[in-house]
Amino acid sequence: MNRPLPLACGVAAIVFGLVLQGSFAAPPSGTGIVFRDRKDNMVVRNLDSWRATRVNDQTISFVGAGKPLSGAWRDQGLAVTALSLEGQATRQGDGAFQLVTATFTGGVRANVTGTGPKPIIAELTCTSVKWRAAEASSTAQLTGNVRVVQREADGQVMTLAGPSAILTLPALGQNSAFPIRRAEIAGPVTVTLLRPGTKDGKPNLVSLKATAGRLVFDDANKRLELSGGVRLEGEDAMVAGETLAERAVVTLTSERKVQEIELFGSPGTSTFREVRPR
Amino acid sequence: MLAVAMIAGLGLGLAGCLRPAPARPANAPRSQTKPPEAPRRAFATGAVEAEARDPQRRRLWTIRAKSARLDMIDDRQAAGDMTDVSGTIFQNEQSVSQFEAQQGQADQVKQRLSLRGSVKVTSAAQRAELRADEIDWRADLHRLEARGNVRVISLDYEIGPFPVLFATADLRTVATPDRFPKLP
Repeated sequence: MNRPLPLACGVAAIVFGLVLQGSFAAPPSGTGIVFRDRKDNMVVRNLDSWRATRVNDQTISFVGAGKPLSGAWRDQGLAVTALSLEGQATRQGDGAFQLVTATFTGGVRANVTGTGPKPIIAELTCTSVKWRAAEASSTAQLTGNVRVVQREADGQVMTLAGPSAILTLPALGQNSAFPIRRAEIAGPVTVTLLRPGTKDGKPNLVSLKATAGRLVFDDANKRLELSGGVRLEGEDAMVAGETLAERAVVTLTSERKVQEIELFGSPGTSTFREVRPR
Repeated sequence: MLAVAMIAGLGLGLAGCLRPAPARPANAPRSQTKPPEAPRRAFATGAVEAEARDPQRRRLWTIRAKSARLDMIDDRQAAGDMTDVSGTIFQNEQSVSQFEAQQGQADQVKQRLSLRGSVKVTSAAQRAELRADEIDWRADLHRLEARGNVRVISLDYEIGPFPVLFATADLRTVATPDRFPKLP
């Protein structure tokens, strides 16, 4: 569970610092009340209401609220702003507190950051999140106006949106640049992909939008499956105009770029592949 | 040796003084006229040591002070203003935390120990310290009430500053007043 990686922690700290100062910065009118563990791993700021109880020698349970509060768990790659927080954290051998369970509610915005030299940040927005960390993997149940946004270095932005979602995240200590192993979003689901391309012969971001009843993203198999009244709208070479299907399977490259789109359903099956100029 | 004996002697004296006044029997006739006010006296002392107990004779706290001023009423009831205080808080006859402060006021009748000035309450079991400008131990409510620049500092974490924070005597639970557990 413990990772003696001071350099990685330092990089993560910088990343989190930037994250917290950027889109997830605490509002300037903070209370100044801060909880921080001895390793600065778990830091909760801007609290105006709090209760902490020691459950046993390693574990504390806590309830807090702020307008909003912001919390970060550096080793777990998690930074959250929300109106309230309730959960438990355990002290590891190095003194760092790690989140075991938590419920964040009220205007939740969270960044989940992968690990490794080029970590990718997934931005989550919803009205509440239930987080549970386990040895094999962690899960996050998101409800209420869920949006999952993934930004790539080349400018590609993928947004998954729906009323609720279940995300599977890597277990603590597992190296994974992309922080989402699996995502299930209950419908109606909207997927928007903006990627660098050309429009009217000029470099531009081209869009691919899909709506469906359900979405399953499987990072291990680089597969994104949409089902239930799938509608695709595109403006690039792969999907131009509007297409309807019962089911759509999007195969991604190792860098999570769209490689192939297969459509299933009456009247038959269609496959779209991007044709790259030779 | 003489100093120790003096402290012990004054401590016994203060502990005796801090006993609550005996309650009026239920069937005793009510007096129609206001009773004459009991004589009130104040003493300044050197070092003192005192112990407070609840009506069931369970220890609430012990306190030591370098000097004290004792208010005595009718030779039975008293409050004490003490300087440079330290001591122990008890629950169920068990020592649960230690305290120190620049000033202290003990009121056994109200079961309240008021500590002022650079106050620290320390729990060895929780490896934690509660620091504030003022802390009251409300034995009747089973809680510490800390006010002014309140911080909890433990070997594991630090939190604060709160304007007001409540805590159990052993510092196992700390909470803002809106979240402090209600008594059963």
